[in-house]
Amino acid sequence: MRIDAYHANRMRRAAAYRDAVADVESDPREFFAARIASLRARAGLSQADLASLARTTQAVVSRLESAVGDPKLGTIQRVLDALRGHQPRPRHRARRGARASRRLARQAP
Amino acid sequence: MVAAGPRLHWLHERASPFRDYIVHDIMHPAWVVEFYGAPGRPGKLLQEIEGLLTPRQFARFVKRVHWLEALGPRLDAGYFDRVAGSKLRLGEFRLTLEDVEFRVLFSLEPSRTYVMLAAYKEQRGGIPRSAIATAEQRLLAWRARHHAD
Repeated sequence: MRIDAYHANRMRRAAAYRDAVADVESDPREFFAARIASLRARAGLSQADLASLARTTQAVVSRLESAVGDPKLGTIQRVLDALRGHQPRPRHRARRGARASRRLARQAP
Repeated sequence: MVAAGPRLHWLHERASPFRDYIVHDIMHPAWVVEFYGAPGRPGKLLQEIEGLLTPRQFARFVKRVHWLEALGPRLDAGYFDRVAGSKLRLGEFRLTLEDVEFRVLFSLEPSRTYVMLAAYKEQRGGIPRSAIATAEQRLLAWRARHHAD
């Protein structure tokens, strides 16, 4: 059985589960956990790689992704800054950038 | 905790965990995660898992399974382990759900399919032998049914 089918069934039938899902959805730690895990994985980084880029430990990254504990704002910022530096640039921006560079090169004396 | 301000707007715009897999409003999982079900009781393992966890822990578990569907092994080595002593090369999906260390034994089958077979809360003695035996028995039953279909 797939999890979505089971989840949908429980959402219809179990009020306690509905409340729990609402609770988890509104937890900011869960918001950051999902985004950090997703961005890290898509940048091809392991938790240890990300930890070293963000000047922290793998255990801290693991705790952030598990949405446990009470992380410091500074830690979250360092991790997000490290991830931002590793995101591929969107293609259209790269093309626009390349076009602008060529134009500037032509204009240059 | 922080509210997402201008500094974090890029995070909202570009970091939806499942964004790559939504086509015409339909989510297409990159990996299939299938939970073992007995004949006539398709939700058997998920019912067992729900029985082991609180509703909040189970809600977090559902989210982590969505990550696995989207990212597969890219999730990180820390989420996976090999089960020593398993003849069928089982793996272990390792999660921290609030204050519980939770493990699900699985087999990675062809067609990018994780078959989840048995679950337990981690205790000091390592993986319970009974969980490995159950998982192996279920995997053989799943393969027999799957190949018969």
